[in-house]
Amino acid sequence: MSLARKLAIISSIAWLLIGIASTMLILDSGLEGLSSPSGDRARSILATIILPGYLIGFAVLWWTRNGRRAGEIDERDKKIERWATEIAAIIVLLTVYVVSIGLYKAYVARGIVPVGWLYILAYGTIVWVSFLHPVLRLIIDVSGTIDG
Amino acid sequence: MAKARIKNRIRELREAAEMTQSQLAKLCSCTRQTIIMLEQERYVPSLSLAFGIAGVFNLRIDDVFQPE
Repeated sequence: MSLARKLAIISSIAWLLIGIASTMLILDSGLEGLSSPSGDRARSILATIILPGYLIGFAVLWWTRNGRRAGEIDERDKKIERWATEIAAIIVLLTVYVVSIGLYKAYVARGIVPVGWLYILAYGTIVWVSFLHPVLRLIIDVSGTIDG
Repeated sequence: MAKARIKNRIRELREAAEMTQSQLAKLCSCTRQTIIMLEQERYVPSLSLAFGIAGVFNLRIDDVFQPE
């Protein structure tokens, strides 16, 4: 199995677990918990779960580009990554659009959106894109639908 | 515009040279996964990789790759 495929599998699983943990935390603290100043603990745990994962992702990216394993990522892997990035960008854009419009529709009568939704949208976007990108890389890699 | 299909003789040449996919991948600075996809004609390589593969077998690029 190539290094790129291994990393895609590890990242997918890691971000799936981070996503599940974050969702459980959000459901546990509720929108009120994220919106109120007393919800500091929930917000801190959420940031502690998500941000290190994101930073580790960047470190791995550097490691496979410039580090000791740099030669193990070849032109096909890079093309797969580029394609996955393009598709992920479109999907994430659409997701943020749909969620934002959904919030608008839900709260337009009140004229105010609970601030906790901003927290969910911010961290949710990071988790979603971080999970989606390796999954797309795996799908493109396994399906073999990439050309030179 | 229709996508160009490129046939190749990589598997045939590799087997004739009694070389494994991993060995060929190492000589061409690519992954074994890429060699597998090339042999199955599910990936069209860049010009530099195509030159690299042809070079391993001491052949010209059009002796290895041909448009379908």
